[in-house]
Amino acid sequence: MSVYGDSLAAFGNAQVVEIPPDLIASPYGGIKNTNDATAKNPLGTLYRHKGNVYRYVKFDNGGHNVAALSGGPVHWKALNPAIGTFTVTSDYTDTLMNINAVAGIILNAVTDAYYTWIQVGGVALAKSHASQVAGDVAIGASTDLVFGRIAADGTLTSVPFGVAIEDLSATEANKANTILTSCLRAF
Amino acid sequence: MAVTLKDGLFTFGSNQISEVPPSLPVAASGDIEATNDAAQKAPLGVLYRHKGNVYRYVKFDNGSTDQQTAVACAAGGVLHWYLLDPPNGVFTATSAYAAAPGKNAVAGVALNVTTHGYYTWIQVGGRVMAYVVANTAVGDVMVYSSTDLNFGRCAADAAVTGIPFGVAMEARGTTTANKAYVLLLNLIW
Repeated sequence: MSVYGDSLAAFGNAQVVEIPPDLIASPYGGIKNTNDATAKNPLGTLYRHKGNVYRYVKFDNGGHNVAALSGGPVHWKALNPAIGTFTVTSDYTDTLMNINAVAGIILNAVTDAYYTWIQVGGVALAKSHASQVAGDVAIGASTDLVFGRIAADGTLTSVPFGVAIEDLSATEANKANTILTSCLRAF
Repeated sequence: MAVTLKDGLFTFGSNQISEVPPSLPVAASGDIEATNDAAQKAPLGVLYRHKGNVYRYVKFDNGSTDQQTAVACAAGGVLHWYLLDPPNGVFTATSAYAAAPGKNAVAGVALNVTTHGYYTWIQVGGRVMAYVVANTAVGDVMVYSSTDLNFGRCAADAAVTGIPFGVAMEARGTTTANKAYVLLLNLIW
């Protein structure tokens, strides 16, 4: 399938995007298991699926070959929507804009240079700061694949990307369900 | 129509099948603001752009389900998430801050006196007349508040201490007592 640099209209893309069929191993459907060797959707396109919102991107494990893992916040590595460039990385040292370049949450162990859907809206089970509690603000961090935090009622010192709605590890070790409020804000 | 599609919240499909009541003379801004459905009439969580604003269809809980003191809904009241599980179609908002999962969990603004356990559209984008805490001035950043049904505030140009959910477009009480027009932010996802 072609990559359309200028065709990220909400409707057109929703009609042509490809979602893998549900897999037994994935109770929520196959979108979370996407690991495409070739691009199967327009890069950057958004898709609303079962109440959450996802963006199709290329994954790059960066100069340090940081393996992707489910729930890890990823940063923009290369971003030029006008020409269809939407590349995210698990390697913080390759981030475009320091801690404020969070692109979304990666959902599986995507292969380097493959394509996948990352979550950008709704509720995501995200790798989070060791002290994260419900109500904390999720921000970018200089640690690979993890959210930083600002305690609830604390002064915001960077871009807020979400809100934790449970304490760390309440559902799964080292993760917290987080409402992604702001990954969609830019585009 | 009563359609529940747990996995049907696609951007366009949901908009096409959601139900908005016809306009009524008593609702000058359009009848979506008067929605108080005993039975679900649109997919939960769906977003709808209507007359320049954006709304989300949710179930309303006044807090009594969680054994908190019931807080009656009010037009302009700030609601928090009570239960939220999008993949399973769970979008329940509450008027009782104590029933929220934590701070910063604002869901949107109620538009009428919705009945406990009923379904309604809450506003999540655009301009809304909302309850705001005392001393709110034009330009203030709207954040969550532990006061039921109210937005908290951070003064313009001061440190922001929570997720910014809006900006006050007028001082409290300018148009309506205890309320202000607010431009909503960060509630559409």
